[in-house]
Amino acid sequence: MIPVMKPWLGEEEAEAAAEAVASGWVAQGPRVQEFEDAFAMAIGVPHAIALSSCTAALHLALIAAGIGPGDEVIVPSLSFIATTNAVRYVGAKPVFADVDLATQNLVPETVKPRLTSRTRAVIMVDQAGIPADLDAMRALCDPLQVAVIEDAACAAGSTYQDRLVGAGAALAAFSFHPRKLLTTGEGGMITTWDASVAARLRRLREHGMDVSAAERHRSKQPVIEHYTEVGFNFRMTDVQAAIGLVQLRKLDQMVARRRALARRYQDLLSGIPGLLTANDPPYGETNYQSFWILLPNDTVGRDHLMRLMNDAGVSVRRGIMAAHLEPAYADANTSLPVTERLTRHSLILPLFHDMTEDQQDHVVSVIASAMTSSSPDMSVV
Amino acid sequence: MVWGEEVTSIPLVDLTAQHAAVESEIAEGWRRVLARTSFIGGPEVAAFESEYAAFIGLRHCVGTANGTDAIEIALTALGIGRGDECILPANTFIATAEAVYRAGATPVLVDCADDGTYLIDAEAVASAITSRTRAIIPVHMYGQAAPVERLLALAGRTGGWVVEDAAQSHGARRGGISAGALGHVAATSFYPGKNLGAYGDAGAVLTDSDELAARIRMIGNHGSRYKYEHEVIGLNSRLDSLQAVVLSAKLSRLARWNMERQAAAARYADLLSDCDAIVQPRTLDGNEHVWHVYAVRVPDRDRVHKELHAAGVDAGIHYPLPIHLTSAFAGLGYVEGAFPVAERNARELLSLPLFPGITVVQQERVVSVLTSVL
Repeated sequence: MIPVMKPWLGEEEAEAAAEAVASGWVAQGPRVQEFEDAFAMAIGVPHAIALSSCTAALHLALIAAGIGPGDEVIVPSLSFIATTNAVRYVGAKPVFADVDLATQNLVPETVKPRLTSRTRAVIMVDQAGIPADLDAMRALCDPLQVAVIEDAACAAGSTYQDRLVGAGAALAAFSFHPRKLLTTGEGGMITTWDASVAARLRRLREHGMDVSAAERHRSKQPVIEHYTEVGFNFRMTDVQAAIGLVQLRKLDQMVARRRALARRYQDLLSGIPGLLTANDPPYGETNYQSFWILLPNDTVGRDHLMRLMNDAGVSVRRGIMAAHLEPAYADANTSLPVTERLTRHSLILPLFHDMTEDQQDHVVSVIASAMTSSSPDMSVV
Repeated sequence: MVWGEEVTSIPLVDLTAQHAAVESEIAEGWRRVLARTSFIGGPEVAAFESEYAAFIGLRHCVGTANGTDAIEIALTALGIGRGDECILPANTFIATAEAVYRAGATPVLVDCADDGTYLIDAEAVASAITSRTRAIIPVHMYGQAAPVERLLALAGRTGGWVVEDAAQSHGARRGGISAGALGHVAATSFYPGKNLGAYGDAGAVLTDSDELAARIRMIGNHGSRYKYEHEVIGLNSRLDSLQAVVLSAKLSRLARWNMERQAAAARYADLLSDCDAIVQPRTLDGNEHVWHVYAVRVPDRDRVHKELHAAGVDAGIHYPLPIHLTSAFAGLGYVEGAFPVAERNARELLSLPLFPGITVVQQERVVSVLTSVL
């Protein structure tokens, strides 16, 4: 079976994790600090705060932006559900906006009609690694004092206006889940330009403590910590950070390899009429965290194609989910035509660092034969 | 002074008193270095770097060959280069703009505030920010810190670095924090006449980040972390052991020398308080000024400067031309009149002799000559 994703982990990560274990300090400590520093400098921002997940990162980013009950936050429905859930965690109301077809991202045209006097933030997702047009969104939101938070879960290593995604954002949240390029198992990170926000995030992730456990350990004097506000346990462990430090050094290679494989997919698939694939927007480069294809309406059904591919030994995933179609958000009761088309007619092809050209050829041949035989679409209503 | 004694001229900067204080310590340190015949890096450089980092309150100080390189290396290490814009004040020593240009970026000049501080105008910075702005480079002019907290807020909106030019502000503080530790990264110069001056060229980059410090060191050492492994095209810009000996010796006396400068500045303020023709410098609220330069605004400055010189008082001009009116940066395309405050400062500022060890008699003479030629 050709997997849809396989993390690029090796001996070096194993050794780094073993060293962390051998050091006796396995919870958040010196390696987390080192990983934060290295990640911040790699992205090109002054502050990075490591967390247990990107969900935690979004949750804390919303708190840092001052979002709470009574506030509305505009989110794409077309995103992993954590984006929307985070808004609920802080007691605010998620308001779904549609996305642009080519990038699968929010754009000012889709967000503008959803703005109300209660809108306090927009969460811009760099969907599947394709950078969202942050400057355009900020041109809409800044004058209204609506915060723009970047959900860069998929986008470590993607670029926007010649910088790495996150570098230009007030608050950006990254994920290190194994479906992402850079993984620490579970894990997340917030980047920010604001030192006081960074300090508050560091307290919030550690129960609101004003002195971290690592600092108390280092201190030669006994230290009594205080709890400045209600916080969380959102810490990353030093074992994860040790792995992350190795992965971060490999990020450039990962991006280069995925971009080469993606270009090859694009070439091989270009013969299929009406098929749309993930691609770079004009203002940046994607890391191709997920390589999606969007099927034309009048050919083989997406779910049918997924079954055919599965039978042919190719593991695929449906395209990005749409939160507003899930029972948890049934009350949203809204219509998002582009989102619905994308979630019903797109799928994600295998793409991983060690993927071979033979494997890619096989994936493409299964798609090509399925689409030329033009099976009737029974799965899509 | 004894009546009848010949009046000796008063220099702008006199390093003899400082040198006398550190002479034996330097001689001893230099003998050690000479005996070892190893001049680049070494224990003296490492010692000074850690002492200066601790003095500023940061984790890292990376020595460089001079302050100009320090700015260029800091910018390069932050990934700032071609196509990027860096905002800096129009009245500063040319090195700030040169370093931006040499890093491959575009210097964007702004005026200084018209409040007697001679510092970068934060309002002007706000209007100069574009989507290409990657750094704001405040210069802590003449010994006091720019309002970095305002610049941090402005830069952070679009994701820009605040790179402090701390070449003139060794030991200055703002809100209790050392100049050099106020922004994201700082560059400094130890040119001989500085509050902390080497016996030749020297500089440093200051940062709290381990990662950035390692990158800065790599860039300044031919792009190399390990011998003969060159990651990037770097610079040859390292602090040498002989200068490090001087800097360590002087650093332990810097606080006292800065107090002497502060006392001398207070004395000038007092001596000149009745002179309405002279506009005195102002210290920004929250600042501890270390008076690298005591610059006053005088009418008909060039004539006054000449007459002071003729009378044996060596005043200085920092700086006769703002960046945009130099031929070197004519290509930036700014016209005369673009930065009226900087241009007026360039026309009217006169730096009075000031150095640790300047005597009351010398200062009184400076003031009496100055007021007589106005």
